[in-house]
Amino acid sequence: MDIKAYIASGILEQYAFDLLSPTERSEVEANIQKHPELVEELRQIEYAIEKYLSLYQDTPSPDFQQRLNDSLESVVPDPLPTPPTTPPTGGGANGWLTGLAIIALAAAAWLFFDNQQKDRNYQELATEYQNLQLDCDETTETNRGLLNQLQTIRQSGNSLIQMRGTDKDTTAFASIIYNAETKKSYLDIVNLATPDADKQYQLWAIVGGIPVDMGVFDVTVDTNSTLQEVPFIENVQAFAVTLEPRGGSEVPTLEEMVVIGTTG
Amino acid sequence: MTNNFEKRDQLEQQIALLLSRSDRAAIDLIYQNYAETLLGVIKRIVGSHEIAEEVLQDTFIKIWKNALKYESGKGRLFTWFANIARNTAIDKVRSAGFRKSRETTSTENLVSIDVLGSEESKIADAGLQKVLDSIDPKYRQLIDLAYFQGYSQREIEKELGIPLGTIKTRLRKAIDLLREQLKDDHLKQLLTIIVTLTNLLNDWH
Repeated sequence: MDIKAYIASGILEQYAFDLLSPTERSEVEANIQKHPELVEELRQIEYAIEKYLSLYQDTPSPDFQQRLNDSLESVVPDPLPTPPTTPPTGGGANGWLTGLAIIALAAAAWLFFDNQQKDRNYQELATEYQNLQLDCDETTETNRGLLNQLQTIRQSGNSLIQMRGTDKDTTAFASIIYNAETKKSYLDIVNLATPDADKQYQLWAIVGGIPVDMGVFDVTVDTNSTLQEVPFIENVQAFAVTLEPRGGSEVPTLEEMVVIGTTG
Repeated sequence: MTNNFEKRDQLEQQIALLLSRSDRAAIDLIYQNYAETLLGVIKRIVGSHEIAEEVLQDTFIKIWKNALKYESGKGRLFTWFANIARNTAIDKVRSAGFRKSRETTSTENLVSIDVLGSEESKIADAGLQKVLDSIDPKYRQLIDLAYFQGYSQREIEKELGIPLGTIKTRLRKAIDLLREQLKDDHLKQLLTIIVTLTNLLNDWH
């Protein structure tokens, strides 16, 4: 058994908090017997629980102890069940009965081990199911994001301005989705190299021949697959991205222009 | 704190020995050391102080009746007491008589009754209150539902709308946080001792 995984499963906490079914309890008890590491772990958990529960301390009424003692007067501890005495081993006449008993025992043992195996299989499947559930949640989330983007891209009135790489890096590529009806624009980073830590990309709109700052942006794994909304500016002739010192510049550094695309 | 726990362990061994001999002195020791905590746990579940005392009495009767059945290999004595108290209290809350006595409140409202009850019950130690405050409410809520309300993990799954796996990991996380707090307490105690010693030495000079 993988002790670490067993501890990490939280089953000892559930055991100490008495949240397990009788079958699960016996399993934990059997495991504690077998693995001393679990005993120490369980003790630590139990100390923590004792500490936690003692937060709720409350004082009994002054006469409570007397009442309690009175009520315990007539109570005696239940005797432990005496272990069943082993029946005398069967003589000749009982031979077939003994035979039957052996078969029954063998069947019981087989059922027991089979059941244990099934329990193990069940645990494995339960873990696998949980992992799949998490994967599924994640996929649903991604899917929702992608559908939203698709809707943005399909919006009527959209025009796509492709910004091609300059001589600095001809493979660089990004687009602007520009919608004069909804007055919204989005940046789609298709391929921009990750800049040095002290540098940041800055987006510009060229309006009447003058560059207008549209803000700085970072390039991460996420930004490669998501649209970012950027400020909407009217009557743009061209969009461009330059590489600027982190935080951006007031005017674009033209020799650091990475991509550019005209609206015409 | 380790010391403290060693003392707790010695006390438990003493009580366990007395219980195994059906010696009534066990009950006095249990009363002195655990009555307040057990009453607090029960009150957190049943709400009223009066009913909590009734349940505490039943708890002691059960402990005494089962005195010979405690097995130290299955867990600590305190855990055994606490679980008897908790289960007796939950049985009480779920009994027909209890529901009748609280006719105005439906069983679905047990959670909110309990929240009110918790505000009434006093917290013994300001330091411990801090421990409690330091635990993220989402973990405390889980302990409350599971331990004090006796919700099964499936019921919690429905109530909170979080998956079973998350419940298990959160429960573990909650206890982990408590354990972290215990370590801190240990450090604080050590610091107090050092400061006291330094002061003593300074006075002496």
